[in-house]
Parts: sequence; C-alpha cells; structure tokens
Amino acid sequence: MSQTGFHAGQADGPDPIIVARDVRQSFGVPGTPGHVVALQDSSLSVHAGELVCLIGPSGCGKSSLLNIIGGLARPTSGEVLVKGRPVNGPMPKDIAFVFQESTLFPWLDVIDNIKTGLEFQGVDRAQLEDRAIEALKVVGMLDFRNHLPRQLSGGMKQRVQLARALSLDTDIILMDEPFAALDEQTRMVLGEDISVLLARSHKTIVFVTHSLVEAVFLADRVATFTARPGRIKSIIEVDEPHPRSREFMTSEKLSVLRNELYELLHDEVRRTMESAERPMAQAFA
Amino acid sequence: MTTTRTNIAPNDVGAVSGASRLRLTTRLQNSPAALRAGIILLALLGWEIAARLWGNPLFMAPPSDVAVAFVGLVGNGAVMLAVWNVLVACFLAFVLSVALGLLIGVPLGLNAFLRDALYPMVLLLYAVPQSPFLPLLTIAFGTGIEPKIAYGFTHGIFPIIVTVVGGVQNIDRRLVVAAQSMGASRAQILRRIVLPVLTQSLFSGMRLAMAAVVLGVMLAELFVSAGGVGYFTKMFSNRFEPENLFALLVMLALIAITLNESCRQVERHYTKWRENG
Amino acid sequence: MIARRIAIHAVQAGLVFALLALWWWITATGQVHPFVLPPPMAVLDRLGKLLASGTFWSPLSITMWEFGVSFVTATLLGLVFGFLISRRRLVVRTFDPLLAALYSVPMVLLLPLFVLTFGVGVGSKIALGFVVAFFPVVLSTTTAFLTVDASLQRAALSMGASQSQLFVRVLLPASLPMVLSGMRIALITSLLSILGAETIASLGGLGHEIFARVEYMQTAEMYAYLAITVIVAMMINGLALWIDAWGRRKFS
Repeated sequence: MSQTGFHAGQADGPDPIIVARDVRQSFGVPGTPGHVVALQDSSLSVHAGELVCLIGPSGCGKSSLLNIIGGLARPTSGEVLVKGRPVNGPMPKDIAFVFQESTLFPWLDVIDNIKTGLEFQGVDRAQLEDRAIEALKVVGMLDFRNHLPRQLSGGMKQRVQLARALSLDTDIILMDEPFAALDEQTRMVLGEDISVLLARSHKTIVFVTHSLVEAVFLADRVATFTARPGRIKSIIEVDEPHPRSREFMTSEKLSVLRNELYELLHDEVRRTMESAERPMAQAFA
Repeated sequence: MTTTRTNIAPNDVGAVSGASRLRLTTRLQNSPAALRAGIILLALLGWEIAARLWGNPLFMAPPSDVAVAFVGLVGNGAVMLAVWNVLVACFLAFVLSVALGLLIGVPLGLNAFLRDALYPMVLLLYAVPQSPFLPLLTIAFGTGIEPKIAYGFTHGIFPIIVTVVGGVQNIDRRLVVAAQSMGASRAQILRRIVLPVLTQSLFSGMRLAMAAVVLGVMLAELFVSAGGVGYFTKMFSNRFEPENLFALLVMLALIAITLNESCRQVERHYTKWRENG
Repeated sequence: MIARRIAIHAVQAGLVFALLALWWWITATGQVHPFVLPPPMAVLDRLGKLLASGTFWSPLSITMWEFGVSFVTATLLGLVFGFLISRRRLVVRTFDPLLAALYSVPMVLLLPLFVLTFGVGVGSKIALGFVVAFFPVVLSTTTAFLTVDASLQRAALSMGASQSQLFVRVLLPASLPMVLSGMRIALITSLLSILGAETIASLGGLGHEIFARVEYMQTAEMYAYLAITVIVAMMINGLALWIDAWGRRKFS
C-alpha cells in the first residue's frame, strides 16, 4: 500500500477498460401496452482501476446497465466493449459479479462454494483449494470455510460472495447493491474493506447502490440516473485517494458531495414515487 | 475543493427499429388457451384414427362411439339412477364430514389441552391408509348407498379437522391482544375474530374435503359391484362394451371435476381478503 | 408442566385402552356377530400364525412388485417430462392447467378400463399405479425446475458454467427438495391406489387377500392381513417422509 494512496484515473493505458455506447434496453413491442423502456440510451466509460458507482431511484435501469456490461443481458440497441472486445455473453475470465441476494449454493459449504465457482471458470483442479483459501483469507472468512450458508449472517454471506468474486481473479468486478440487505454499520465497515481492496489490487469495480453516502465514500466517479425510463444524468467526480479512511467518512468534503448527489436525485426519486406504474422486474435471457 | 460534474443531455429517443408485424408464432405464443384447445383436438383425432385402424374393439372405443354411448347412457334410467346416487352419496358424505369435522375440530382448536392430547391421535388415524379397508365396508354397511357415504365420510372428515384446528391456531395473537386492550369480552372475541378466521379455514378445508369425499365415494362405488355404478362398470366390462364403460367413466369424471371446481370457486370467493391466499 | 404432560399421556392411554376394552366387550357379549368383528384375541392369534408361517410373503411380494414397477417407471418418465416441460414457458402455460384439471379426477376411475384391457393380473395394477404416480411427479418436477432461484443460475452463468455444468451442479441440487416432495406424494397415493385396486379386481396381492378372506368367511384372518397391510404401508410412508425431510435439510 503506497503512502500517497492510489488515485483512479491514473489509467493503466490510454483506453478505458469498459466502454458502453448508447446502450438501450426495452421490452415488448413499441406501441403495445406491454412496452417498457428499462434503460434509455446511456453511455459510460470506465478506466482500469476505477471504482464507478451507479446510483438512482428504483427502476431507473442501473441494474440493467450493470447486467448488460457483464454480459448477463442483451441490450436492445447500443454496444459494450470490455478490454476492446464486444460483449456477447458472460466473460468469466474478465468479469466477476457480486449480487444483492445470496447466490451461494445452499447445499455447499463456504469453501466448496468458492471452489465450484473456480471450476465453472475452468480453473485447474489442482489449484482449486489454494485459490479458495487465499480468497477466504483476504475477506477474513477462512475460519468459516466448512460452514453452510444458512449458518452465516448476512454480512458474512456477502463477504463469502466477495471472496468468490476475488478468487476468480478477474480484472473487473461488478457489484449489484451487494450491501443492500445489511444494516448500516456493517455496510460501512465492508465499504472500508472494499476501498482497501481497491488500493491493493487495482481492480476495476462498477458498483450499483441506493445509498448516497456509500456512493461518495467508495467511488472515484458517481453516475446518477434519472427516473424511469432512466438514463445517466450526470457524473460526479470524487477526488480522494484510496484507501479511504474513517476520517473521510466524517469529513466535510464527503458531506458536500453527498448533498450534491441529493440535489440531483431528489426530483428523480419523487417522480418515481408518484408514477402510477411499478418498476418492471429485470428479465434475463 | 471544487466538485467536478458532467451533465449529459438526453439523446433524441427515436422509434425502435425493426419489423412490427406480429407473426403467427408470436400470436400463438400469446394464447396458450388456443394451443391447449388445438392439442386436445389433435389428441381426440389421433385417438379416433388409432382406435378405428388398429384398436381392438373389445378393449378400445373411438371417441365418436363413446360420444354416442354417452347419449345412450343419459337415456338409460337405471344408469342415471346409479349416477344420481353417486352425487347423493358425495353430498351426504360431504355434509357429514363438515358437520362432524367442525364438531371435533373446533373444540380441539380452541382448547390447548384437548389439542395436545387428542390431535396427535387424529393425525395418526389420518395417516392410516384407507384403501385396504374396502372389503370391511360391505361387511359393516351392506351394498346400498350406505357404504359409499360412510367411505366418503371417513375420507372427508380429516381435511376438515386438520384445517379447522390449523386455522384456529393460526389466529394472530396480536389481534386478540389488541381486542382485549380495547375491552372486548370473550364472547366478542369469539364472534368477531375467531369466527371469521374459522370460516376462512373452513372453506379451504371444504375444498380438500370434497376432493377426498369424491375419491372415497368413487372407490366404494367401484368396489361394491352388487349395485350402483360398480354394477354397471362390471357389466360393461364383462360384455366387452368399452364405449359404454368409457362413457360412464367420463360421466363420473365430469362429476368429479364439477364438484371440485365449484368448491375451489367458493373457496376463492370467500378467501379474497387473505394477503397471501 | 410435568403434571400436564402426564395428564396428556394419561388421556391418550386411557382412550386407547377404552377402545380396546370396548372391542373386547362388544365381541364377548355378542353385541356384534363374530363374522363382522371377531374378538381381539382371535385376531391376534391369526396374526401371530400368519407372521410365523410366512404365508403373507407371497401376497406382499406381489403388491411390492406392482408398486415397485409402476413407481419406478412413473418417476423416471415423470422426471424427464417435468424437466422438458419446464424449459419452455409456453409449454408450461399450455399444459399446466390441463394437468391440474386431470389431477382433480380420481385416477381410480381408470381402473375398470385397465382391467378390461390388461385383465385381472398385475398388469392393470401396474398401469393404475403408474398413472397415479405420474402426475404428481411431473407437476412437482416442472415447478421445481421452474422455480430454481434465477439468481443462482445467473451467478453460475456469470462464472462461466456450461449448460451441462449448470444442469448437474445447480439445477439438479436446487430442485431436489421439491422433486422429492412430489415423489413422496406420488408414492403414497400410488401404493394406496394399488391396494384399493387389489381389493376391487385382482388375483393376488395384499388387497386381494383381504378381500378373499371375506369371501371365505375368514374375518379374523382378514383383520390380520389388514393389520399387516396397514403396518407395511405406514412404514413405507414413514420412509418417504424421512427421505423428503432429508432432501429439504440437505439441499435448501
């Protein structure tokens, strides 16, 4: 860990590692009642080693964008390039996911969960044990390696999911509201861990969240969305080196940024609450 | 400490490109009912052709013959009497099940001691397989309509007891506490809270009980071949008249479907206020 | 609250004892013809003789054979069909209401047809057992595969799982509890239908023995066979319940 911390934006190369161009996702046939636009034409570039947060009201399409970037969903129009190559489906060697709900397999214990993920990726049998153990060490869950998911608390389950994503050793990690089901204190502590991780590993992270404070604390840039049909409204930069400390959490700098986010999002949230339709659930091919 | 912000102007959102003609497959996809009807028609057609071409007339009858036989049976007084008795048996067994089921279930539900003592025995009885007891029916009840009512009753009473006891137990204690805090008497609590919840569970139980009663009555009918429907199934079998046999079974199946479906509708109607059904 | 527990067991024991006493009293005082209800000692005597002589094995094995063949084939076919149906939403929406409507018809109604076609031997019982077991397995398998947590599948795909890996490592274990539940229901309804069918029209099997004993006026023996049948059926049911509970514990 360097003394001066790690600044995102000091890109490893001139080209962004993720490029999304005019991505749009809609369902149903236009003109018919079933037609829904989940995501309006949105563009985003993410540089290597950055942590970008996507934040916005429910149904604004931020999760859709994340899933499209990760190859779990197909856009209706537009394209996404990861490391210069177009995204046509999951890219397990380059992108790892952490989901909001627990996607740990309930019939496997912690270490088998991680080893199964590695097997899916295609890792050699001989390396499974070591890589799983290494990843559990990083998140501090090694002692629980033979526990079953139902024996773990919410925070612990998310740490295991994070370990699974880390074990896959991808350059990019996409996180869809990973801490939403946890209480605020746990969220804050885990947020600090993510920041430390970022400083050490220089991975690229795209993080979807509802929490204003979480977004400012973690991100190098925050993309705010409009109400549905959503698109990216503004991008705010947070100029603060990683790993971010508890002092930053209570600093005035963070407060100012948080207030700015609030201003941007307030009207959008109102609009979402007042709209008669309920946001449509995400669908996957 | 300046913040850097970039605003992004909304793009012009044009119409989605692509053909908007609805193809036949899309139309079909939107109507499983049509697909279902089509499949049923195809199945009937296939049956008709298979029966006529390869079917042994001793065992198999094409749907057209069955339909004709059906009409014939409707005109046959003796057969219709037997079918009518099936309905009567179902109805009587059902009423008996509900009445005695409530008589046993309500006290068990309300009184914890009785429940802890007797309910396990009820459940044990419920778990006993009833079909080996068929021969016992004729010994005990003869060969009229009585064994069928009895057998329907023994099948139907248990779902009533189980759902009533379960329903009373599931009354949200908080509702009772809230009522008590407002000064409700025991009678008021019984009438205003217990009774509605009880009625709820009763309707669910009635649907299950009807299905069980129908099963019991049908089994008894088939077993007792001295009279009733079982007499005719035996006769049509012995005479190798598959079209009559099939028509009779279709008639019984329709009764079963109608009785079950009506109970389901009644249950749906009266349990609308439940949040999770 | 020990006193309460003692009171509960006292009531239960008392009830059982009262019923047995009633049985003994009815037959001893001739309230009921011994043909309808033999005295308890007579039944116990016959039961003992039956168990000792082993004559019950023959009908038991016939019943078990009918049950085994029909259940295994129904399960295998039901699993395959259930899985295939679950793959296409359209197929599900088309067939599900059909299957549900058919399900509300007691399948025993098909017995006369099967007897007509296959005769009074094991064939008709196997056919009935098959049909009765098939529907619950198909229905529960379809639902099981449909309701496998979509997020589990998404996670597996995001990590690079192939279609076969997805099926074997995710879909199968995730759907197992519900599939086992369906199999349990299929098992018990199938066994009961076969036993019932054996009493109605059969040449062998436990149900037939019960019926035949009535025909030969050997009521005490009938009750003995009844007891054996009930015990065997409840043992099998208990085993099924245990497997069902195990599946739910291990895989969900």
